[in-house]
Amino acid sequence: MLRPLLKLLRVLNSETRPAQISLAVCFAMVAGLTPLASLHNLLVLLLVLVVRVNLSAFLLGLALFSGLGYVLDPSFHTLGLALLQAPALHATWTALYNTTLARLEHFNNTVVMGSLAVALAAFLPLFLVGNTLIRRYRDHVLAWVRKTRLVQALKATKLYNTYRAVSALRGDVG
Amino acid sequence: MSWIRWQGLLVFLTVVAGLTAAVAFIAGPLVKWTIEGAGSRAVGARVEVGDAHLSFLPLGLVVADLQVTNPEAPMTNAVQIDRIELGVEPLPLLRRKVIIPALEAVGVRPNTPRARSGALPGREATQEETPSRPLAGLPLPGIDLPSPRQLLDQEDLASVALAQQLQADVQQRQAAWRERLAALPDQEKLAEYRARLDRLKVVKKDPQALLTLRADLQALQADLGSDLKGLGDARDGLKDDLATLRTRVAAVRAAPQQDVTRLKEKYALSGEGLSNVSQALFGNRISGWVDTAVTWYRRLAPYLERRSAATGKKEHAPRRERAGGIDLRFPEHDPLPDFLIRTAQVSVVLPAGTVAGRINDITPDQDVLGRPLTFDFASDALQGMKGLTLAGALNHIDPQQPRDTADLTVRGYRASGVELVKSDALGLTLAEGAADIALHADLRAGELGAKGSAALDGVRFATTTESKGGLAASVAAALDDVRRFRLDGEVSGTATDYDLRLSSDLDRVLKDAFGKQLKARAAEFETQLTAALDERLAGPLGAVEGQVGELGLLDGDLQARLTEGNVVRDEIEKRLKEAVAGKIEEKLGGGLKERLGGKLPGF
Repeated sequence: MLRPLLKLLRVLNSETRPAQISLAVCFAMVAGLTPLASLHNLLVLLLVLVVRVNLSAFLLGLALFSGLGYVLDPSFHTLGLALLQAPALHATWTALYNTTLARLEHFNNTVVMGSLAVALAAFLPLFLVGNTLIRRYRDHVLAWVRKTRLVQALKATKLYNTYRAVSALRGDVG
Repeated sequence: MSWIRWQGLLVFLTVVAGLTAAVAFIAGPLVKWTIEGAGSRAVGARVEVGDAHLSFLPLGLVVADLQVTNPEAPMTNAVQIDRIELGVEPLPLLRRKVIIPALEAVGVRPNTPRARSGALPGREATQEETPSRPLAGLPLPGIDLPSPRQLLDQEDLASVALAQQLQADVQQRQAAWRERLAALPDQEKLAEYRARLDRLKVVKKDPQALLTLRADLQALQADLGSDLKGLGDARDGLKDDLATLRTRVAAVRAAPQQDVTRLKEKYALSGEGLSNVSQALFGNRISGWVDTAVTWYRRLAPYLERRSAATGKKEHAPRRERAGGIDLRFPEHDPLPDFLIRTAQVSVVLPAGTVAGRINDITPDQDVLGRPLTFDFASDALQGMKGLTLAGALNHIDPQQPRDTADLTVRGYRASGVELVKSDALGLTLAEGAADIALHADLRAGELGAKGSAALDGVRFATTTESKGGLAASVAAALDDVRRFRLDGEVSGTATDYDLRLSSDLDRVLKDAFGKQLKARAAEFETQLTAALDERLAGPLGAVEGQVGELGLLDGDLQARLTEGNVVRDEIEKRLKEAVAGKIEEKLGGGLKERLGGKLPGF
């Protein structure tokens, strides 16, 4: 429990751009909320690897959203069922049902449809809110913590310098 | 800083390639595991695969040593298949359609023993669906009849009931008559009349006394007349009652014959009970075959129709697991079943040999495919028969109106040592014979209809019987001469509750053979039964006759009272004539007679 929290703090405190972190969290939300073995998650994996997003944030977010997805599955089912049974969308679903790609995507499954709809709808808002929150954290909380005497004292120790050197070698510190 | 890291693409391709390689590497075990898991869940007992090999170019699968446990008998495989080889059309697979153009199943063997139990953990083996049908004895009429006395004890007899009813009625009438007679004038009362008469003496020369005497005599006459009328009416009523009761006694005496006739019919001593000999001889064995066929059909039936086709309009509860939920179906431009085996070449290994055949269009989505499942098996190389064909169709295109048909023909089936009847009285075995069998079965929306016939030639029956004479010996002797016969059968009802009717030439043969024995036995039984019934009726009837006799005595008593009363009445009339009409007129003269005549009519 402590280790993921430390990882999160390390990511937030690093030099990584807020957009890289929040985009990683958004991708993690899509992959985590929806069933993992879905075709669209292959695309998410490709994007996560090709687009320069923070991988640690993605992995942390994936773990978080997978747990959340398990809890919310019944709600996703209800939403997916409502969407798939909506008369206004029937023609769209029928057209999709007759395409190989959509069948591979398994869009006609209620949980896939419900969770994907929620993830896509929340993608942009989460990205914007994430960016804002990370910036505010760094401007206010992080700046205040760094100015405290305790941190100043810690930074002056040899142990901290050794830690920074090791972290720089591992690429954790940005 | 660039937003693109091209090395990520390389990682992605590496990951995808690694995943593909891993899938290809574990495809065989994965397929094996999938078949075993899904199969076990579907069957309700362990499904095991010896080996599975998936090929990609062309896409296909080879499964070796598939064992499907019989859920009702975990130490037996419902079916074991040595090898299944099939190809899969790749393009429909992308649309989640498993289309198998050709499948070959070699070495399909039903009911093979298992080395270890195939029951799933936590699941008890259910009871055998097919109830065993032990061979029964032939219901020979008369052989197991109870003794007449026992029979009378357990039967409701109309004659005895009539006698008891009559006895109760007679007792009631007897009591009523005794009461009524007690209220009527008896000998003592009549003696009083006589005493009153004796006191009324003729007083001469006293006109007033003569008038009083006449009035007293007339009063006495009226009293007696009233009582005599009561006695006369009572006697008429008693006579009517006696006549009715005697008629009823006669009816009770005739009733035993009706009882005997009814009991003879009931205990099949008329010979009619022999009409179902075919049913008794072959019914259990053929019912067992029908049960087996129905059991196999019920095992396969769930795979002929999709249990719940989720459509865009039905509500379903979600499964709480990742990738759960339900799949909704939408209209397809080019509909294809989700699963289809276009052609399956199957070779079934039976103890008698191998039967090869073809099954077309195996799918749970016949409504989508628009074609029924058809099958066609044949063999000319089976031991114990010249040839066998089995063909049919399982039509579930309209799930509401399914219709399944099958035609079976067997040529020259050599029946030997087929035990038909097993009882102490008679054991019967079809020692040898050759049968040509034709059967057509039709299951339409749950209603089963089947007709079949078997012509047996070169027949020889073997019988064992403990009795030298009697019906069992007659059966044995009659069947000894039978060399050929025909058996016809018809099944109707539902698959779970059907009615089997059988008829054959043997019915007539055995009926003729039974004739003489039956006649003698029937006559003997009738005599014994009549005697026993007469004996049983003797008590109640004797009592009734005694009571009726006692009523007759009451009639005598009434007769005596009437006679005595009539004597007194005659004497009163005589005295009235003597005393009034003759001597009074002489003494008093015509004037008084004229004066009194108007006031005393009758003088």
